[in-house]
Amino acid sequence: MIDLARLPRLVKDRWASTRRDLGMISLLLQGKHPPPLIPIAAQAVTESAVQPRALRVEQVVRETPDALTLWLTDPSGAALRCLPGQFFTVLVPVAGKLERRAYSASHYVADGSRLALTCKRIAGGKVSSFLHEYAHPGMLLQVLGPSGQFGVTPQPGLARKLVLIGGGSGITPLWAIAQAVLAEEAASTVTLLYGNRSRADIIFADALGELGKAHPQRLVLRHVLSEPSPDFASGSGILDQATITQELGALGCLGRDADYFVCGPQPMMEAARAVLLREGVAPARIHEERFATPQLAQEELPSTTQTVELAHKGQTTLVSVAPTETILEAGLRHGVMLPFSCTMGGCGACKAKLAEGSVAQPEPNCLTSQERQAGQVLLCVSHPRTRCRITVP
Amino acid sequence: MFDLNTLQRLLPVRYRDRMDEAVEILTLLKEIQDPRVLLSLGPSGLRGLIWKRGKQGVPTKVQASHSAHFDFTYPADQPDMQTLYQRAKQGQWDADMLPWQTSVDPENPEVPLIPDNFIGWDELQAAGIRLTETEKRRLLHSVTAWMLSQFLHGEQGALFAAAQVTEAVQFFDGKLYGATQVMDEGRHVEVFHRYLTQKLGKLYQVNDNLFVIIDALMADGRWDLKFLGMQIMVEGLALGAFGVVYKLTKEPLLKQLLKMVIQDEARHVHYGVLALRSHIRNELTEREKNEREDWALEVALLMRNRFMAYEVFEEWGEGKMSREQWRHMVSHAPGMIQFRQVMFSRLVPNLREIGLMSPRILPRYEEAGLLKYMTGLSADQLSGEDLVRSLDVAS
Repeated sequence: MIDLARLPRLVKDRWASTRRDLGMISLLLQGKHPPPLIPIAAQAVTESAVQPRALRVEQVVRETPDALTLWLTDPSGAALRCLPGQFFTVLVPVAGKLERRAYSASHYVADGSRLALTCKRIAGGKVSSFLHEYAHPGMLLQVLGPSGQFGVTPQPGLARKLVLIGGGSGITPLWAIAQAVLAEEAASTVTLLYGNRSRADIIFADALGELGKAHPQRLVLRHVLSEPSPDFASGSGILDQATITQELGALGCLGRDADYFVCGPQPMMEAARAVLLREGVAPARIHEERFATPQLAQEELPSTTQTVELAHKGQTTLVSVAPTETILEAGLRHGVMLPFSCTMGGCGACKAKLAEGSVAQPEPNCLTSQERQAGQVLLCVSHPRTRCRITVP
Repeated sequence: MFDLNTLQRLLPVRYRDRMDEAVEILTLLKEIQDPRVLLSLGPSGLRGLIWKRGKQGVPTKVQASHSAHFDFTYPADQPDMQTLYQRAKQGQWDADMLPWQTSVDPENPEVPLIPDNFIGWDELQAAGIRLTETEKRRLLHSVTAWMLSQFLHGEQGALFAAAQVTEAVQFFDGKLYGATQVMDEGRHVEVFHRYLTQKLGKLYQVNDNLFVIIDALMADGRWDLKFLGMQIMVEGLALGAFGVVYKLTKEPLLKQLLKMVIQDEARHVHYGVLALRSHIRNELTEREKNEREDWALEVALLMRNRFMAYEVFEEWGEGKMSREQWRHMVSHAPGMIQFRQVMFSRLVPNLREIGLMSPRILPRYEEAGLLKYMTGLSADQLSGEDLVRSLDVAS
């Protein structure tokens, strides 16, 4: 018996198959032929030598309608230490591909007994949607890190002035920095300028208020909302150059004696940098953290295996790098103990010098324009386009 | 009179190559003498050569028509197959154990994948193609990747055919053995795919003629024909082909990989000989036997004459030389000649052993220059270790 419900699909399949068959004859008549090679880049990801550790989700805290904090522990009992401001890379398999995203440690935990990662849901974001839909206590997450140079090392003897400028989910590393400095450095002060759309979007709103109350002399908190509410004290507008100049001026924070930590959307970061440089702040005092996932379009990926000569610790190793893997993965697979941390182009731990050849390297990444010009590459996101010679420090 | 060659010369180059392809298909049809063989290979020929089902870039379905043969009495019916089953269990290996950390530079002349003489450089030069040293290395890399790609596609066919044969075969000990072969073929797909994608970085489409053979085997409902096609012909040829590359390559990972694969393959062909020997001698009518004899010869010739690495030509030579010139180069390259010869040195003794070399067919083998392999050892007289040893001695 023919199942009538399946009939349309059968007809559709048969029609598609006939069209493909006729397409081949049509190619022949045009004097052409199907491509001789099968693209390898379209194959599934190869097994990676980068071994993350599995952390257990202990608690999921909804901070705002679209932000949540995952409290994680290491099932082996090991401490999860990091510097306030550093981030971790979360690896999530989505549709057969291992996706990597960076999330800052958002709370300062002095003894490292647990780790908080705060994740804002991005419209269409594969990993953030996955975490928002499926994260639950008991779940294991594959995590790499900590990584990154952004942040502070708390030192009890110091008396410093920190100005934190954050927008939206950019608060996460700043919140950890503020907590750490206020807890560990009795003589330091912190000013936080924090921009959001509305009151409901403020991540850690209550906790920020409480920290302010606990350290009334040392923490100055200033919210700026583009949609302010009458019952909530805040500035109004978005954090562009004018607003930042005005707000920092009013807070008395445009001096050259402060250290600035900036994290948020790209336009806000550019505005803050412009204002601070204009006010004569030394570039070394401006610390920035960018969160973007570097992506290479499929067509930019090389389609053939290339040989890469890796010079590391006085030894030179020839490594063949398949189109589906990065130079870092290939190097580790060949037993070269390359340095790495975030594996997503965000921390610079795998920075190396490209002495010869050319690589495809996704943007944005953490390299500065000077580093780029000097031929520096990030092994964790680079795919060789030609035979390459690379020196790893 | 209407002359195809004249017409061909009048066409623009790319049409000339397609015309060459069409003429080749027509010649093939003309060459098949037995109408029953034509009938059984015809639909597969249409799917593979005209519709190019293997190259459409999407999964393709082949309708199977065999019956699964159940036996709930579990007879111990074939002691030879039982022994083979024991050997197969002990011979299992894990592909992860191969030295995958080996650095493979496919274009390094000091560790060549295949020797220089695999390609007829003089022929190429005669066709007006001068290659630099780097281009030569790349072409050798491509030819190796092409051969290994066809091995890989053949192994996929073998994987499915082994599963079908395990269902269809009437010997219970054969079914248990068959299960190990399915595992073996899965592992072979794994290693060839891994080597091609991770080490050579190149994967070629399935050759149209290989697709025809696989398609014909999968679709044919007669179990003994599946056996003949897969266990004797494809496996036998593969064994020869692997042997040549094993002998010639200087690349240690590929050599090790092929050594392991050859030892598995030797069991597979042995099984084919065991299963078919008494069946062909005792169960088949003269007419059925003749049909299989013709079928085997046609498939053998198809494999010998039609594996011309056209996919490499399409990538490299198109526009620079004609398809005909390429074919001439491939069929006269010293390496390729050796390749074809060794393939048949394994196949012909097995056809003799199972009884498909009656005096009726011998003149045609003679004509094809294949009779000189008649006296070789058949698979049931050779173990995998013997095979590897004989290759080691020869190299």
